Amino acid sequence: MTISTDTPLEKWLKKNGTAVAPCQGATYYERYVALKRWLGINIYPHIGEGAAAQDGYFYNKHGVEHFDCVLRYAGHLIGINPDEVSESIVGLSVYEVFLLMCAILVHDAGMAAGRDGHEKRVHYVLKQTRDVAIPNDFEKKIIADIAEVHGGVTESGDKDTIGSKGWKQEDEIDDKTFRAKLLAGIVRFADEIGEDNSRAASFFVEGDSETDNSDFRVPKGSEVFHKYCLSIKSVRVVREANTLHLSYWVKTTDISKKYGKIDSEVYLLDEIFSRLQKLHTERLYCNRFTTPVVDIRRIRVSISIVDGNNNVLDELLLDIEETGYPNHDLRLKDKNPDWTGDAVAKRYAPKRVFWKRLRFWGDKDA
Amino acid sequence: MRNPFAVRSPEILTPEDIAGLFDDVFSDFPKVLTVGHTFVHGARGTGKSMMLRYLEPEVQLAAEQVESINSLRYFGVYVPIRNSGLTITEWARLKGFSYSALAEHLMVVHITVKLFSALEKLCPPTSSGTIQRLCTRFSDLLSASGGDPRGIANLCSDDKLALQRLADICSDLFVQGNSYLGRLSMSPSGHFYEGPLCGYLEFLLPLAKEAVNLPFTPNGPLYFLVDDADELPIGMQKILNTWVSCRTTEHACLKISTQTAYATFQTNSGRLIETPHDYSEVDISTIYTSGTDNYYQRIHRITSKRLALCGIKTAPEDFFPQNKKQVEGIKKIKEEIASAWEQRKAEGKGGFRVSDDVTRYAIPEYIRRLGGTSKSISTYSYSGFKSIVDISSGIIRWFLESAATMYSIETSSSGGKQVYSISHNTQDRVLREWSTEFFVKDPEKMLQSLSNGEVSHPTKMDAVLVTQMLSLIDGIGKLFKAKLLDENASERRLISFLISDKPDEHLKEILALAVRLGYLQTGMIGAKEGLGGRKTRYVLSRRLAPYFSLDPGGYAAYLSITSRDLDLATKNADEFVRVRLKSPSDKTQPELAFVEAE
Repeated sequence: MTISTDTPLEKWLKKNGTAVAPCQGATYYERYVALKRWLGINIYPHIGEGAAAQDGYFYNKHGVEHFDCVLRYAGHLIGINPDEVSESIVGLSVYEVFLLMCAILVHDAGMAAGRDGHEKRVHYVLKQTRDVAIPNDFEKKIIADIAEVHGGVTESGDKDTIGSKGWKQEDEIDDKTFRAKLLAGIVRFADEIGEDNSRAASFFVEGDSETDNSDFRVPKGSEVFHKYCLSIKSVRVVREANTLHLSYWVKTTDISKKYGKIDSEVYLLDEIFSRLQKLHTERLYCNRFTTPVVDIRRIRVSISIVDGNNNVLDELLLDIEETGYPNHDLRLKDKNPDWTGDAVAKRYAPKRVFWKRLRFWGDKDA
Repeated sequence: MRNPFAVRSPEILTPEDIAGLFDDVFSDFPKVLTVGHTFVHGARGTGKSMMLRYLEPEVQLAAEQVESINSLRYFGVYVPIRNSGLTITEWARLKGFSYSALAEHLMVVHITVKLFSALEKLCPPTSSGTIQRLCTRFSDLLSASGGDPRGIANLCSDDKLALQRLADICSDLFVQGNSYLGRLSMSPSGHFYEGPLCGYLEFLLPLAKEAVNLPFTPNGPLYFLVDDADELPIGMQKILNTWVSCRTTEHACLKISTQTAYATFQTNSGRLIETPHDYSEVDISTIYTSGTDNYYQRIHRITSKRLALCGIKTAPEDFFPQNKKQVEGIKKIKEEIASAWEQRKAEGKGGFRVSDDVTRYAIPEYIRRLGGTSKSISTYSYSGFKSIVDISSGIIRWFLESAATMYSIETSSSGGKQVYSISHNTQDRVLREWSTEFFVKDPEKMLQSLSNGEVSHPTKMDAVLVTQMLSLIDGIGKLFKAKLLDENASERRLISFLISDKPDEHLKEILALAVRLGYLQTGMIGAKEGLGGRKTRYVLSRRLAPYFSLDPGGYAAYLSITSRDLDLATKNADEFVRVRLKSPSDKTQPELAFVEAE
């Protein structure tokens, strides 16, 4: 399998990652390419069928194209200008860029054994690379840890996978410093926005309307995932405006149908709203760790309804950002029902004694 | 003939030994039993290790606290840090992420060894196939941590053997990690670590969840009973604090004992863990120095139990009798004081009640008179059960060690016959030698090892600091003695002091060292001056009472001393005493005129 290394981020590392890592005899760029080559031979070709075999779903593409896509968006986020790669100034050190890129390369490698818990299989995959690119097991671990927290939950079911790691603000390996939380936040957000129409199995979703052989169809439960990818027209990061631009084109043929989503069905537009909600939440979460290097404060969305000739019939423009007075309802009363005023007042109310009426001789029963 | 007071390390005692010897103290420390992380602080010998070991399932069964393992509300796994191999000096070769990753891995693996060993002990002999899921989970977790899981998922059908094998696998991982450190020390560059790197959240916690679901384990969370955590290097203490900061108490709680030398409450990320949000805290030393009645009762029960186990049916007060002649002598002085009280009150000198004067002055006056023409202060007898309890200063091991020595000497003197009481001469001899050893011989050994360049503890200690600390203690002891012998002093039974102003960092360091080594104990007191608040009260260890000829009994008044004077004491103890005795503003707070903050 031929592996390309022409994303802007890879070009940047090729120019800047020429330092030879201590005790390892190869430059950062050489090590990175070696890792990608190994994954390209041993892992990437098998992710799709491996995941499908394990889970029974027709997932959108998780081959090398997906990893290149995430690399592209990570480059945009940190300020790589595709037109002036060499002159781009990024807020990370060369070593941090190296760790970031390696983490991106492996973040979904565990999908080959199924989606559930795939992020926790990264370390195992890296161990199989042995000395190909990362002979130092401490380095393997930090790359695996950064990749691991791009999704999933902690052991206690908490989605705050980055915060729960307990990483220092800045740490070091062999006198090279890095900021693990920052890198993890970038990987996570780049992965979140790294969906575009190249990931969809368009033939299996769109098909040929004349023959329309139902054998060549995405399984029902996976329909909306592919439809969603196909509806993404563009994703663009504008750092100067701290804005992420997203545009969707929804065909008229898709607006009135419901598409399968695991065990249910949804409209494509509702799925778009649901994804935007998640994207907004992820933006808030990742910003906690990536500011000031990556500081996206707004998601600017356009959703267009288009006809068969791609003429825009209707358009919705949205700016998703924090505005107005904060409304973070902590729901303290709901979460602590034993401590509401009423509950505590009852708990500590003085006990009332009810006197029984004494019975005397001669009392008649009531 | 078995010595009823023999002290053996809690780590090597059998569950039956612990069940037999332990005095239930959890009514004093209920937080230790509740779900949640807890720090248990206390000087060496206060019973922390016994307390933790008592929480193990086998001990609970032996002590008949429960009828079956399943009735227990928690699963205690004892994790000693001393002699664990975690405190080696080679850690200094690693730094940054390499240090924290390998350190956490070794801590996790060390605990996992103890977990599997505990499970193996609880596993019924005929059990087969019930731990299959645990093995599979362990295999998956090890693989996810970069380890080789080959052969683990299907170890063998005998569960006990399988658990033993799992413990051995973890022991091998521990040795592998330590070996890497050893190779690093011989050749600092060119070695890459190759092996798994297991973490608390991603490895130990999921394993704990599987362990508590086994049919033969208690129904409740795992309590990891980490003993002597202040022996850990500071980096590992931060890792442990990071675990404390995790909200994992539903499945695993950390019960951590320290000898008051725990260096930091920071986590790896620089956050501070705080009580009560992140953990609860118990300080045995403070409880037993402020609540002397509790401690006395506890030692009484322990002594009675130990004597009974050896077939000696004697009450503790009779086993350690007082010097009758001295008792009579003090009684006469009490009568003198009582009869002179009216006149003293009329002169404006007496206490509010006659009993106040008797309490304050009887023993000091007796000691002072011993030092009269006969110059025999050193003949004051510290014999008597209560006196030995007082001198042990809230540290159970101190009581037991001195009692064991007394028993050995008395048995030897009796030609090997059973001993039913210890003569007051033997008691005095042992207590004086023991007190001198504490203040003279132990520091000599410590200074010797410091001058040999031996690193003794993660926290800072050097010969200069130790010498200054000893000078300060010497000054305080001599000052208290001078006050005791001064028949004109309003308060003569002094055992503690307060610093009236703010000490500098160097003085704080010296005081902290004195507390850590047991020469001083601390408590809090409400400040009467200024805007109030609380101040630290420093109590001289009553173990030093025989050395300085002080009265160890009672809960005596405190002296207010400036940091400037204390600084002088660190340089010249005798000059400090001279300056203090000359000072007209020598503030002494009377015994009954304050309220303890705790």
